Amino acid sequence: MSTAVTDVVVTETHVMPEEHYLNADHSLKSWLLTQDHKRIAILYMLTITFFFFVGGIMASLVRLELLTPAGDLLESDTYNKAFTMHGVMMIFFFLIPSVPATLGNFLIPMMIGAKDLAFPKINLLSWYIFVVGACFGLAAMITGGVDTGWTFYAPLSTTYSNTNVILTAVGILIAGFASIFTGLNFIVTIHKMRAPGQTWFRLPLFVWAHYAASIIMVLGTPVIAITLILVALERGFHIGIFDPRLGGDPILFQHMFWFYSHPAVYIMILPGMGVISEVVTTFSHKRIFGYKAIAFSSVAIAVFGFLVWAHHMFIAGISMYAALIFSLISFLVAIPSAIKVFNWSATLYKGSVRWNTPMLYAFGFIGLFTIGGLTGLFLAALGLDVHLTETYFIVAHFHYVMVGGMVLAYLCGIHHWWPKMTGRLYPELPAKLSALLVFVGFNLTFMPQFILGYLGMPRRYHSYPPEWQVLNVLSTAGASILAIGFLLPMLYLVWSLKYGQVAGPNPWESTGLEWETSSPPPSHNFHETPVVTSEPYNYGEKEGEV
Amino acid sequence: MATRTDPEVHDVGAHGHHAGDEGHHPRHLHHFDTMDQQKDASGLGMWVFLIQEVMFFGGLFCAYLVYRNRFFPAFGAASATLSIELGTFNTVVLIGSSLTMALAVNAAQRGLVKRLMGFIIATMILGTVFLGVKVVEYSQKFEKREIPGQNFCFEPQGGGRCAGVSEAQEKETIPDLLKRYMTGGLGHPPGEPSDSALAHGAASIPGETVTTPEGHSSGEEGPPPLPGGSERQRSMPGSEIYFSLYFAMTGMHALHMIIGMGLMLWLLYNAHKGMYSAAYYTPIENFGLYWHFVDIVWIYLFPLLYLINRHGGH
Amino acid sequence: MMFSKYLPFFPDQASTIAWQVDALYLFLVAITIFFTGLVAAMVLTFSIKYRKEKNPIATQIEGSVPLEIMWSVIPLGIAMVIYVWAAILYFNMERAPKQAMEIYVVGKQWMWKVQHPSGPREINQLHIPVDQNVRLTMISQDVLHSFSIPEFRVKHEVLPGRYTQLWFNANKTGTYHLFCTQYCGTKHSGMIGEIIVMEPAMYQAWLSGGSGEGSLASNGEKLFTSLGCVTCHSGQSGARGPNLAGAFGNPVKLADGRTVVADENYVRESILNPQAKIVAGFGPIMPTFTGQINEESLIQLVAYVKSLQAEKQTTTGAVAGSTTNPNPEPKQGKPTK
Repeated sequence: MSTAVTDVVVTETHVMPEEHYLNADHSLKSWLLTQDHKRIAILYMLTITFFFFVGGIMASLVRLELLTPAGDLLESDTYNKAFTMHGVMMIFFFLIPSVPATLGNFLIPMMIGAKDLAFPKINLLSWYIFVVGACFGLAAMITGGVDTGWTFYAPLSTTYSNTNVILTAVGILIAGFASIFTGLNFIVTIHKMRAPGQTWFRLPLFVWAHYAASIIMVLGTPVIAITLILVALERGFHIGIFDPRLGGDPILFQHMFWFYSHPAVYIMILPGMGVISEVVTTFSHKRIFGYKAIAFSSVAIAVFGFLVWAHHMFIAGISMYAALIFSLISFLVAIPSAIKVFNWSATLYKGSVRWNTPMLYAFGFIGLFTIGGLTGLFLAALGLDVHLTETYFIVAHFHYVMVGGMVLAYLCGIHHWWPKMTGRLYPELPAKLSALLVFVGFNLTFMPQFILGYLGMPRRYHSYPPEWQVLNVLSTAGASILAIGFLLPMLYLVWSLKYGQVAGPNPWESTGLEWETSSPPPSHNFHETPVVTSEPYNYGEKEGEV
Repeated sequence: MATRTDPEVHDVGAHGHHAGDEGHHPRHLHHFDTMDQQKDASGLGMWVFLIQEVMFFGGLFCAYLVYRNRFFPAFGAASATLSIELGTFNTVVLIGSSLTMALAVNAAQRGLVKRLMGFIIATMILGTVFLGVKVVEYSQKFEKREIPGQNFCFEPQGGGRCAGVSEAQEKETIPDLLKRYMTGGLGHPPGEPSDSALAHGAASIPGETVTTPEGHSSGEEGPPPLPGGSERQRSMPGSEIYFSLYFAMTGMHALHMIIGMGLMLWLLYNAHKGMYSAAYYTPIENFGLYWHFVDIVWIYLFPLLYLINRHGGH
Repeated sequence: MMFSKYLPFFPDQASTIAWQVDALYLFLVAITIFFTGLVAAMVLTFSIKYRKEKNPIATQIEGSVPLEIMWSVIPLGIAMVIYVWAAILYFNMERAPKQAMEIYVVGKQWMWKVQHPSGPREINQLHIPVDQNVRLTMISQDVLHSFSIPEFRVKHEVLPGRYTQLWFNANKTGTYHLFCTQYCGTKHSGMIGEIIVMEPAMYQAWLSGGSGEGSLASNGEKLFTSLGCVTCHSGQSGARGPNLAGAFGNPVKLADGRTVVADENYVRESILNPQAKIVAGFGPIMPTFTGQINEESLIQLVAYVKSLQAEKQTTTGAVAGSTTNPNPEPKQGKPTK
């Protein structure tokens, strides 16, 4: 029986459903004015893929420059613009919308059994707002770039930089509203649009994670909005808010900036954790271990995440006693993440594990996120942070969480739900190869940066002492492997659109409402409003039926 | 999770099977099961939006709090320049507009469209009055040069220092001034800010050209000076931050009111078309929440900006 | 240095604090390796042992409260150990010992300017004696900078508008890296320099080989006169400004009833924003010097005000035990221009 079950997916031939959301209408207008959450998700996906590669090109420039100790490839000005635009593009125009605006948009209504999000027009509006904001960002880049770092620290950004700070700030501000609207839509949808029988504790963990992330989007984003407005006003009109020459306090800017930007990393990582919960259960064909622990840990991360912002400022002249408290809470926020990692691992125990591509990405996520999380403890530890902050250790830690964590989770989710979104399967072999390349390339890129950081190499440096060259060369070599790993999916996923095997409604034999409907789903998701009668991940029951 | 269509679980949720069976309302959107669900969702959406607004203004209030503590006397002195009469008048006007808005919602609930339109117009008139008074207040600040930026000048005792506006400046209209701020203010001119072209601070000490023994010529220039005149330099430290916050806070508030006025025009148009009735008035109700929120923000701004120096002690 | 010239793992340990930071770091590295290994082992073992071919039917497990508690409480305990350890270390790093030689640093785009109390000034270099507590008082005259010496494991931001402090005790002679680690604009990576740790005798020789500038305090005194401070702060009874002799480092009673300690930042604020904290018994008559005086001159004034205290206290012998810095009065280099 065992082998037969494995082969079911492959041998059973499916046909594409006659009518689905993709072929409901083919005109450009039907896409640009769509209110279908699935189509908006696709629009978002195309947009952020573009910005991922723009940010990726910037990263390549940075890594190439750092191949040699001397600043020989780029002017220091160009280099500064490259790493700034890398940060701005990746964070504000890729990572923040990545999982929520694409997979979240596509799946949340389906997972809770709704026909759409609560406010489809606002959903479409959010995409347009995002595109307008992103155009500002692109315009800033094309017309000369910006060189303040993605953190826009005053007074460099408000007074001293000669670059397009206002344009970029306005772009981020506008894109921020897209994030607010997405979060608002999710919160209302999850509260009000659940199908009959879909109680809170029957929600998939993906939905819980997005609920927690949405809270941060709604509460945090407006603060960065007003902060960037003040920066733009100060720069444009020379008014005094943060300008030390007028008595203003640049540290206040940092407080306001990190009040959003620290929770923002949880906007980025929480939805990724949601993806992992779905994938781990599906491919071990098993209930999630500790459902409530994972659900509540998401909410705990969202709440505690708002109370740790000043750990970015331990050496910036905040009071020692404030540092003591922010350090403590930073340690506490690590615990819910630890709980999740242990629960995912325990879910595999006595499961029936399949090594499909999404699962490989999930394994990669768990490993890299664990390292990313644990190295966070180094930085929360006050006495050690003094030495490590503002060095490549920070860069490595951040990328372990954001790339090793979030980008892998995004790729994991894309591979997991690709059959649902497109109705077709991608070829497994190149997909597994790309997962491997990403994992290997990533570690080779960022592991040396931990060491560089402890050696004291400051971040955002255009040139560096020659004794650090070997480690930098390793890192650049890893980056080129990573780049191939990221490009490969572009090829086989696009290929699969036309030539991929037809997937059928549930190629992974997953539970979950989104797999009950056809692939790709019809415009209204379900032919009949589903009624939910049991917990999520009820693999045991299905097994019993077989 | 499994889905069943067993009839016994049909009543698990409050939602009906499919909408549109009986009494389908024209405003009922297809993806909601019932009108009630639609109304609930809109209401919750509005509240979440308002929470977002609280955080938005919260950032400004936080900055205010920090600087109010740091520049306690300067904030008091600067606050004393605001017209308490105009501020009070505006507070009354805005509370009045909240009342008319509440009456508009009430009229909508009862399905009285004429009355609804009347109260929306009344709210708009009061809103316009508020903004008009704000324009008067702002222009006074422009005239007295109590506006942050290059022209800033503030002297609590009124010694006439700030009165000395050059003829060119006197002739300048507000749009001219704004234009100059916009064009002159955008960043630095080309070249690096620490170029020696930007004179160093020490040079302005009379009779003290070189304050330190020379020998480090490369390191002698100071920070770029503040753009603007010496009056700006000599203004009370912290006072410019007060006025920056004053304009930022009241400006953001006014922006919300202007957006509100636009939304009211839209509501008025829809009401005129007969879109609202006792069965469907969600937009009116939600806009009412928004307008009250804007009102409440002012209720905080008024004491923080106008009244801080008017207690018994002074 | 640890492994080889080409693949180093640790920077030199060149200060008294360095080994303490390294110890905590190694502890955390061990924790990281252990937990990463544990998770990797769990994931790999389970996913290989229970792969579908071997285990076609999964055993459904809801979860386990004891396990959840275990893997919350144990990490929490470990985290708290690290927290306390690191916090103690941080307090040691942040709180400078009372007895330390003082050096002033001004950061600007894109260089470090160092002023020794006895006169010598340096750019992008800092000469210090070995085995001696050194306290840097730092300020930026433009954007944010950060003063970092990896071999000493110390770092602190340098802010515009406010003095920050950093202390260390270098216990190994040699030349070490100095970096600006807070991104500060175009030539951020050029804002680097050297820390040169010397034997005390060598350091003395270096000091006396200086270019012959007056001490900080004596330069400050000249400014004090030329700016006209002395007319009000004359120190005589009935003067319009408070007497500054002996004021530094002591509590000051303010007109609004508060009491503050007259530290470097207080003196600086009182020059730039005199209205902020008015000493009880005096009127708010002092004009602001904002924009009229640069950071280096401010440091000289602060050093001068400080020296008034030092003069008063040298008799009691309470000043720094440093051999080089008991008295900021010029030791050498008399011929000031």
